[in-house]
Amino acid sequence: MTRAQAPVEHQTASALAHLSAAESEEFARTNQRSTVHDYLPQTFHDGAAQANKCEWSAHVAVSLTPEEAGALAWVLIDTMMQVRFGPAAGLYDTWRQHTLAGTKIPSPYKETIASFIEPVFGLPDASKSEDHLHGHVGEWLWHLLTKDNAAVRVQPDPKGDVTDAGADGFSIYENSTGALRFRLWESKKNTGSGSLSASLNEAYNQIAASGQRYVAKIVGTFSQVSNDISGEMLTFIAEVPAAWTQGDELVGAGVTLATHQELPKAPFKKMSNKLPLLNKPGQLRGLATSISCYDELTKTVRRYAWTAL
Amino acid sequence: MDRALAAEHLNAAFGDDRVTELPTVAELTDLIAGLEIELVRGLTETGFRADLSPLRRTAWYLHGIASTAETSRYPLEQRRRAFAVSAHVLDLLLEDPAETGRDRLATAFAAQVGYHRADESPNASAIHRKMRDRVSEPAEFTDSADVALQAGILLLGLDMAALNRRLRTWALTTAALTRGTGLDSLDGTMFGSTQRLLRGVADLVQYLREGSPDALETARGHLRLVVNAEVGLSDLDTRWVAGHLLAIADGLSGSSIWAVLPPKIPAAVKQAFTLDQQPILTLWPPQRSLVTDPTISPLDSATSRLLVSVPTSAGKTLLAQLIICAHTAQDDRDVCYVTPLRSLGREMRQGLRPRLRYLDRRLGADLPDGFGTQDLFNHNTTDGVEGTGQLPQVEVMTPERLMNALRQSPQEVLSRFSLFIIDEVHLIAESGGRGLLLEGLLSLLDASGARLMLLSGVMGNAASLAAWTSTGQAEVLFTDEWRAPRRLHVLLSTEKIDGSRTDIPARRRGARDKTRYDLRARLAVRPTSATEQHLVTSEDTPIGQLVLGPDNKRISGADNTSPAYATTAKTATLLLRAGSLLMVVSQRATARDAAKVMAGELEDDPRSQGLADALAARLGDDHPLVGTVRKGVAYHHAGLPVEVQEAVEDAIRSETIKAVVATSTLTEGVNLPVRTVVIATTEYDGQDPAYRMTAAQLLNAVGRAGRAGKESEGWIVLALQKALTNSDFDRLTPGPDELEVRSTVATPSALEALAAAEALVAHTQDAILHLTPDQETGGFVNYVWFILHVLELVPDLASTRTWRDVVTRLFAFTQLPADLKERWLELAELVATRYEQTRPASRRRWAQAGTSLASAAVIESLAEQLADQVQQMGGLDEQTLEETLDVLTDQAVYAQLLELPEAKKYWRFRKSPKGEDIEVDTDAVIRDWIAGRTLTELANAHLASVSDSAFRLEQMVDGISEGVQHYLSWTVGLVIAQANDILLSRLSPVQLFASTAVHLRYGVDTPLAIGLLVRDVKSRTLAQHLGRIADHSGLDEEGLREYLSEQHIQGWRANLGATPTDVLDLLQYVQGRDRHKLAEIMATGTVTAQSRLEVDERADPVPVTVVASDDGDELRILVDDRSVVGVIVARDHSGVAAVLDSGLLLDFTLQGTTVTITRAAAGHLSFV
Repeated sequence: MTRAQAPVEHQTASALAHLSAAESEEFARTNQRSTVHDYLPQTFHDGAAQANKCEWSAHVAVSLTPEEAGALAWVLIDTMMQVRFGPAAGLYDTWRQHTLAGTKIPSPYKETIASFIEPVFGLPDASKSEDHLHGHVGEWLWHLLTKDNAAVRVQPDPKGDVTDAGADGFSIYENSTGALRFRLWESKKNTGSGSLSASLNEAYNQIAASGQRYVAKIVGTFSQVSNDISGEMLTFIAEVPAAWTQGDELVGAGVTLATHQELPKAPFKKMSNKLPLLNKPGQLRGLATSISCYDELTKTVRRYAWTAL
Repeated sequence: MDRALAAEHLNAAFGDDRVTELPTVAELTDLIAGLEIELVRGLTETGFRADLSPLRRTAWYLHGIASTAETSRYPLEQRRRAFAVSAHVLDLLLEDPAETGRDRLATAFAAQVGYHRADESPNASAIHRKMRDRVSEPAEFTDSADVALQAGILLLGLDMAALNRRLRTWALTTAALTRGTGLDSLDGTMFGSTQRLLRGVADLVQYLREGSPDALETARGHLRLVVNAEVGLSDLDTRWVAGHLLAIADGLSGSSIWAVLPPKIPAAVKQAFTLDQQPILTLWPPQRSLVTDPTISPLDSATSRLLVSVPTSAGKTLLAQLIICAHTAQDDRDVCYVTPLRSLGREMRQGLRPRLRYLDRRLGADLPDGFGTQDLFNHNTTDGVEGTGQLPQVEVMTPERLMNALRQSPQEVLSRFSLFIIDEVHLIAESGGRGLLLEGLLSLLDASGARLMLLSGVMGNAASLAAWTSTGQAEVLFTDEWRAPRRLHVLLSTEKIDGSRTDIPARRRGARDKTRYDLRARLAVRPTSATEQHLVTSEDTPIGQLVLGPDNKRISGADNTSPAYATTAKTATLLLRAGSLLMVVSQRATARDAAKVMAGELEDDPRSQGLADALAARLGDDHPLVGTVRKGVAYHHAGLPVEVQEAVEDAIRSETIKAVVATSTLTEGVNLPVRTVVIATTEYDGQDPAYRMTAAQLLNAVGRAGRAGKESEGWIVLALQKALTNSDFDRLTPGPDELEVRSTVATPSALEALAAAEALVAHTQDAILHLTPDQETGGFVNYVWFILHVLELVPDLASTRTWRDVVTRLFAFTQLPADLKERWLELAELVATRYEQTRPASRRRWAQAGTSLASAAVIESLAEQLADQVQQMGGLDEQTLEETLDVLTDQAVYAQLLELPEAKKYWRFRKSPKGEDIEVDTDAVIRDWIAGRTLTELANAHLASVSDSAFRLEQMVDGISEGVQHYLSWTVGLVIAQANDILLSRLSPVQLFASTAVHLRYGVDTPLAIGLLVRDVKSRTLAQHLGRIADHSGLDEEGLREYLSEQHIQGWRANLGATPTDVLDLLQYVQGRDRHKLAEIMATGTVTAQSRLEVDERADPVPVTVVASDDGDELRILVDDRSVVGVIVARDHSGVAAVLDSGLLLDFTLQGTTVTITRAAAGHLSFV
């Protein structure tokens, strides 16, 4: 792993800024690279679970070409918008067609569609915090890179608004023996020049300080009135608050990092010190995504979202 | 100490789990206690010192286990306790400045959820109040988590007005968005969950408002979809809010008005609560358990006797309103609600008036005690029902007024009412005659056959009063210790700051050297019975000084040691940051001076200027109250005019002012809930115990701390002038022994009085005539006389009971030993004998007087004097007010009445506080008073020899208030009524002006002004002004209403100088007897209102909208292009405003000048 050189990054960025959504879509389609995995293959996995250890994997992309970065941005925004529109397929189609054609959506569709874009991204004439944009793309990367795991029983999609409050995600999954496990995920992005360990420490601290609150809220969303929640799941969920307090093996924590920086050898090394109760094998997980043009990538995602407005 | 912090409750919350990573119960108690103390400390020093993370983790752990499903391994009771403890801690954490943004919203919502699930829902409303600023701006619909949390906080805070407005805003956005998508709903999109959540909330609101089980079921359906994430992307907060609202919906379906009140109670009664502008949607646990009790529910007409004994803030007042509304909706005969607390009576009126109007029932006018029968039986113009001949169905009055009515016309009173509710019945223990009067009233009403519901605060011996109530026949006692706000106990004393010592050498020969120290306050805070911590105020801001002589003795007086009230007042000022404050002191002068000290520490408060201006208009600029109120501090004692007392009470309730200093006798009489109560009564060794606050009085004052629904915690500060010890805290939690309610006849002082009376009677039998009713013997004599009189006039009663039966039915007779019963009965026998010996007309008049019998005899002879003179003067009709005032002057009636012992020192004026007495021309003062002159004018005109203008004014205020409005108005009323009675008996056609006393009471000179004052209008100046206008223009009451309606609110402000309070009063007044518009629309689906148009009338109906102007002064009628075509007339303003505020969905059409309002066909808010 070598650190991306500034001039290269700069060059990538400016070339990326000139790509259109249509060109990116075409690149993804013709190369049959339609999922995030096609751009961000796992580049590293840190072996088996052990006590006092964070098991982690990395997806590093230091050499994405402008075309690849643009296509990844397209794959991301296309997925996000599809989820945002849901059954409003007509609106999704309208948005997609105009975005790809490089034309503006006429009123009154424009106003309606803008409402679906506004959360997190803001609108061209009223953009929102870039911090939230970076974070939101990071959450989606984590979600798309992990959701297809067959063991996962519950893992909600990232919601279309990112804030500083609340957990960034959780999953309930089966471990190798088929027993249910809970993991709380905290997502961090690092897009500046600050140290990665500072960002990660913030994530560990947040889990330590607020994990109990996130857990309490999550428990409150599982109620007996749901028809499709099994008794097994309810029984399990009821154990989570106490398990979290005690650091019981039923629960674990995960931290996901999205950055443009080069990853150190063992980015999650301090996690076990910061979360000492979660010291049993398999309780700590890490996922690092290093994309040298991360900032530019997220802005391209947003640019594509706005293209037709 | 409070429930949530009791070890057994904490243990119950944790259950058997060994959660080793959290603080132990003992540690947790300390942590919570520490945080409570931090809050007190926070008032003197900023910022929190404690590490809050263990508390935060524990709170969320408990919230988490409490939130697990019904089927979880945590039993229901543990989950309930866990909710309660977590709510308490999260509530405290809201004070942490580090808690901000959406985290803070979530903490607030979790605290509300906890309070609801732990059955402490008023505290959830208190949380909403804390968050008001944070939720005052509607969240953007696209910010789903904010929308969810705001909707949740408003719903759980039961702030229906704000929630209705918010839902409308969001409904417009979501409906437009849904149309834009071309779908039936936003299900499956990123807004699906938010839309469903809001639909669920709207349906819950509709259920609470109108009770439809369908709406509740639909609400559940929407929320379930959100929780199950079946309707699209949703953030955790939205699902979390939905999950809890779903659970709470189940709770609401058990606690809502609709669920709790039995089906046979008409829907209109329920709507009268749920559709009110301050709606009552759910009932609190004690209210629920009483109302649903199978044997003693007061809503069951078969329940004829009941005693409810619950702490302050348990919801007794609302309970009384429910009983009254349910009774009057189902029974032809009337209801009489009696409370010794005038301000509670006013609160009851304010609550009942709109509800009764909704039910098309009437509330009797608010008349002073002396006006027993006149108003009750429609005998004169002050009657509240405007010549319809029909009496109001509900009366609210003091025991004194009811007693007066009974003295005049017992038969009519007893047959009119089929339900009496007597509130604050523990006040039968009050000395000075009021207690015995109440006790006597109970004993007579018990004999009447009406239903009798007694309500009281906490009593040590509730069971024995209950046994008395039911004559041991059945269980009639209901008690419940539930109370929502917690209480924190604090002791306060002063100590010298050693480093501040200054030696002051004697300035002249023979004087003494002195030593001066600055003082600081020491606060002992006790959040739990086991935890106590001492705090001191900063040395940089001393709260007073201590000056010692060479012998180390404290030197008092000007420039020396600060008086205790002053140091306490300064410390109290520091506590104001926590919320409104009531400081209780021993003396009126101390109340004023302490208020001045507090005011001296504060800046002008913009919120208080309106009240200050109104008080200046009433009392004069120089009155000290005006100056303190400008700073947001008032004082309150019985010497102030009633209207001023009421204005101060209203102001502290509405937080127009932040503090009030009151005398201790007054906390008994006034229902003034505040955040903090500071008890600063003077106590010293060797003090007569009668001048100390009793345990019951103390508990009563303590009970004022923490307003249910407004805050979740109240503080009680006991200021002591001594070193603090642990046992001092015990005084704040008196036990049952100390709270035993004893009849005043069974007290040691009564027995001394009895012995003295027996000695006097042995000397001369006439002695019984001179015993005054403010002492137990006089009160007893007076009561026996009254009962003899009642039995003479009410044959039905006399046929089943002897006077001995009624007298020995007094509660006292359950508490007296046999020998004492005998002695009291012997005294009663003497009274009976004397009664027999007195000629019938006199014994009747003496009974009617309510004074000592000797004073009654003087009053009767004055009446004869007057009758003689009037007869001599001749005439054929009732005299004018002016003529009668002349007769009163000629016969020197005021002077003679002021010599009676009942006159006390009400009419005494001095040059200076300790100066010589001055003579005042009573007659001239009274004429100027009735002519409408202000108190300042009266003071300047009649007390010119008093050089200090503030003292001049204060004396005049006291004199008018107690001497004229209370004493002379009462006794002159008696003299005139009896004189007229005598004239009638002599077949003389001429009568004295019957309402003279009312004019004395109100200080106005037209009957219309009185009509305004007894009903809706509080301002004497405004009433006098309107009375004169009506007089000049020959307007009757209806004419005056039209005149006022014509001017509309802006005219009232411009032409009459009406204040905001005046405007509200006049809006009530101009409505007249029109039916409640909301009731009409609920019953028929449609209602009309009149408009004043700025454009030509249109013959065809046009659709319009009606919206309130920003200042609320106008309800504007808008046509399609949003242009204003007119306003709703003043007469219909309040009614239409109530309809608009109800949350109902409405359509409006305008045809001619008539606006027709109909319920929209859709019936409820549409989000799709």
